[in-house]
Amino acid sequence: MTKRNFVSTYSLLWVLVIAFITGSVFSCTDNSEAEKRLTSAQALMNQHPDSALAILQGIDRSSLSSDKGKARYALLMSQALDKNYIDTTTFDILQPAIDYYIDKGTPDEKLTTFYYQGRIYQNKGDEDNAMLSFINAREITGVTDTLTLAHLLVAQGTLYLRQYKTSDFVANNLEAAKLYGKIGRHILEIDSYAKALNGYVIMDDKAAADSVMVVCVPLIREFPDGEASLFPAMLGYTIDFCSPDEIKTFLDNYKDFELGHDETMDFARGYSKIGELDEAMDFISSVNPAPNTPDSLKYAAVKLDILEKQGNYEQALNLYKDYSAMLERYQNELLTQDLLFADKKHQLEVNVLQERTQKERFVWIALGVILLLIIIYQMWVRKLRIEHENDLLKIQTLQQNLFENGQKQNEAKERIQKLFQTRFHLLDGLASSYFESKETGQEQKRIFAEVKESISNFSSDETITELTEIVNGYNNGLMDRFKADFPKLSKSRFRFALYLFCGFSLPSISIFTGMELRNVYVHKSRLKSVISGSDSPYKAEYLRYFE
Amino acid sequence: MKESLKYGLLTGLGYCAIVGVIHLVGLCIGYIAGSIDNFLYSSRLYLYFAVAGLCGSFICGFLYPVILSRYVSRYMSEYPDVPTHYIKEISRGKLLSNYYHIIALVCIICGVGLLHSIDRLPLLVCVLLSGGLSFLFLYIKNKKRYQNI
Repeated sequence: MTKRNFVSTYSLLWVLVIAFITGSVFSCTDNSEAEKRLTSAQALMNQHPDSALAILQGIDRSSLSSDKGKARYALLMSQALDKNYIDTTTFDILQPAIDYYIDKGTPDEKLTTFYYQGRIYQNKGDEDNAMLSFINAREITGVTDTLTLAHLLVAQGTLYLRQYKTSDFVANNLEAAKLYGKIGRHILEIDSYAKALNGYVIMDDKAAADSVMVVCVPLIREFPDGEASLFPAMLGYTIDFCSPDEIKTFLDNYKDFELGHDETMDFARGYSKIGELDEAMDFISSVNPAPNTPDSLKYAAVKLDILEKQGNYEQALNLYKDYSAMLERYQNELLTQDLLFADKKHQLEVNVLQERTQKERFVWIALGVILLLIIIYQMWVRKLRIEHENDLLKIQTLQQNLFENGQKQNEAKERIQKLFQTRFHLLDGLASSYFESKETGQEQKRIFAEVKESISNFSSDETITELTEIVNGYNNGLMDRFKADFPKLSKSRFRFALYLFCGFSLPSISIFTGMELRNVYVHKSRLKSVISGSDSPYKAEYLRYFE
Repeated sequence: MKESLKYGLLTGLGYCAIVGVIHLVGLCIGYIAGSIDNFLYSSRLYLYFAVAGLCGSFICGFLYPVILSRYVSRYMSEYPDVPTHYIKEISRGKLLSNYYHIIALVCIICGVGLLHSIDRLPLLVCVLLSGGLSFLFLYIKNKKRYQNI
């Protein structure tokens, strides 16, 4: 390559590197701008959701390149729309959050995602999936976002009420009320207590309703803005549990207030209960509920009671027929919905999953144990057989290789061989029998045990004493001198030294001591170092046997 | 260097083969239990441990010839009379003993540490504990053979 080409290539590389760094910096800058806006929107969400929505609508979604950024935007936008009472019925906005946070989000992010997923399903009228989303949200552990959790409990409570699970509805709202109270959201707290009170009135549990009233009354005194939330529940409580005079006082005090459909029907019910049928009819006639709704059922039930008390039996009968038809239709719709069974279905799925996991675990453990046992058994049997065969082969050649070559111990050698003669014959016979009975494991085992016993006789105390006498006799008391020079050596080392002084080969010593041959070499080397390092006058004589 | 790399790669490959077999067995058992669609073993922690194991096995294999030659030099100077092939056998045995010891410790500590998450990570905990116990067993067996050396 010429110098010019090299320089231009080098420069091009530098340009590319600088371009890459600049691009990264600018893309980071753009991203961090969007991130700042998201953070601002998040900070304003609870107090000023309209401003939060405006900020979010001003963000260019294409500037968010990462999945995390898109998910954050999606979640915040869904929150802002919900808090601004804009009901969404599609997942177009929330989907990136569902895709990202459910697997990779923090507990709070997962909670919020499931909550808004459930809210969208609720807006669509898909109460079954809404309930599943809320159940999934409630199973998340480590949640710290108290406000969202409380909202979730209230939303799930609404679904419970639709299923006639009034006790679950009450439990959810009581729990939500406590959470709202903890974070200082007292209006919402009163609202939840009001719903719980309503629930107890439906369940006809005066004692429990009174316990809620005891909590609510001081709260209303402290936060009068909450009175509007509590009024419908108070109305129901008064009509169901109070005396006729108390009912009349209450109704007369509040009848001129601006009332909703539900409250108007309750007023009609109240006046009907205390016998003021004309007032009751006036109130009920002012209501015009949509057909085939829970409101129309309540309207029919209240009006029916008034007509019956007035003696208008014909009208009452006609209305009763309509009411029966409506009730049947409503209950059929409810039963055909999976909503009633959503939580049971979920529980069933969880149980099935747990069962599968346990089954899998059991199979794993069983397989592992069986495999391990088979391997261990095979290895043990094979190892034993090989070891025995190797040992017996060595033992068979023991007589021929008893002594080290070149050892000038002829007389002592003959004496020692005579000492071991019968034992060698026995060993030979046993070894031959072992190899002949190759097919019978039990027989081989027995023969090997006999061989081992015979070998142990070679190193018995009597044999050692006899060998010591031979060595002392033929070598001017060699062993006695050795013992006197090294009194601190262990018994096994003395024995080892004796075998060396007898001139036995290292393989023979290995058989007598039961040590592996390499260990025999090591012990010999160590003993040699001990003798070399000593001040014994007979050092040179001892070391001759270690050549 | 070449030899170290060779040992490292061989050990790494062996590790991959074992992990592959365990993975396959896991799939089969999942299929038998009827939960093949609920593949418990795909969480990130499994991947981290698998990679850590691969790196560890590569390092162990890579360092093996280096450490072995040090052991051989040491024992040769300590036991000049012992034949070379026995020195090598003793050095290999001692080195493997130390390897088994360290691997057993690491596996058992990690396995016990993750025991509280056994529901989430069953395969990982079982493999760590059983691996740790196996290496412990090998260590004890090896230690007996080279006792007093």
